[in-house]
Amino acid sequence: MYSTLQRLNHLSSLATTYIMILLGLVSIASLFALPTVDVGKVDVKDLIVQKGRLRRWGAREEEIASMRFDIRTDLNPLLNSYNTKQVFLYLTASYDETITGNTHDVVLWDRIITRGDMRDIRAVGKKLPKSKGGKRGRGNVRVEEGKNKYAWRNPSGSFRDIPTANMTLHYSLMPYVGVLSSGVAATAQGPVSIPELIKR
Amino acid sequence: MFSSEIARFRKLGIQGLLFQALNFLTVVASGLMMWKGLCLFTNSESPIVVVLSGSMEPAFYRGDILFLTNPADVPYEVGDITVYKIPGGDIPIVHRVIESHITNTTQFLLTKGDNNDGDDIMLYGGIQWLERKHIIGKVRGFLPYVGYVTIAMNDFPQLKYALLGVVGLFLLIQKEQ
Repeated sequence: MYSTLQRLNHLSSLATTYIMILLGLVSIASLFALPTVDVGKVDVKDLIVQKGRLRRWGAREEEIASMRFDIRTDLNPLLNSYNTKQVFLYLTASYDETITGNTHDVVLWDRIITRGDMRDIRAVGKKLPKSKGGKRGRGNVRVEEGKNKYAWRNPSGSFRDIPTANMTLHYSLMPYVGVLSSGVAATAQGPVSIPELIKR
Repeated sequence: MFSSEIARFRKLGIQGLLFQALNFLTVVASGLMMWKGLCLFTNSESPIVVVLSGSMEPAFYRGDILFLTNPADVPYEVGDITVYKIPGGDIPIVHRVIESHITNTTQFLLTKGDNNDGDDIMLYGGIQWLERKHIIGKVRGFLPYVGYVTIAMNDFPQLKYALLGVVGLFLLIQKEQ
């Protein structure tokens, strides 16, 4: 009646169909139960603007801003979601130029947090002493005196027309399967004012 | 070996053979129609792509499938994962936007792979910024591993032709049940 090949064919097509349906249901279910986090705090310190060059062949001299920052936020809800493969944290500066009206958005720092090392994100930035409590620090992001990872520069080469910038820490949630989502993890208290160029 | 098949072809006659060919063409045409419909719906020239490199690990590995959309009039944001193609370069690249500069005429973007050390200016082949026209779409959905079939077919082209041949043969000589 049925040959082995036919049985195998039936079985594999059935398995594929059901796996696809299951994956579809998982992605829809996790879309309805998207985790939300309370917005934490970003503190910007020592923001300075200096003349400098990028480390690139033929780079011109331009104004480059650098800073230090602290981050405190609680990402436990993201961790407790079952469909979380990775969280990508990134700190952005967004600002407008007063004369031209151009709007800019720049990533200054980022960090990949996979599910494996989610249990202890306290090692972000500099090493902190290990807590004894084990589970207590889980999902808490503590960055002390972090430095901007990418050079912050403006396409015009100068920060003269930029009075302030808004600093925001975003997260981008990568699922095992399904729809990607993102949100705000922490913000600075009000816009950060950009200082005058330090002349040498 | 093929004597029974040849005998069946004889029995089918010209009309039956043409009918089978029509069946085959319908399958191909409906596949193409679905793909092009999806292109129109998502406003993207290639709404489903397979990740080809490891530059976004551990988010995306080789062989993962990504679903893209490209809504017109919605600017890309920093942190979006975009797929772009540089004119002259032949494969689309999946990288995250790390800088966006909106002027009153256009939007300039800079991208970087999460797993790469530096930004993508080296990959742009001479241009300084990406613009909207370079971008195929923004990643909205994710399905792991399934696309590895296409990578295997690209790495071993014989596999592709063998598969195509077998499928075509089966469609032609298949008995109506």
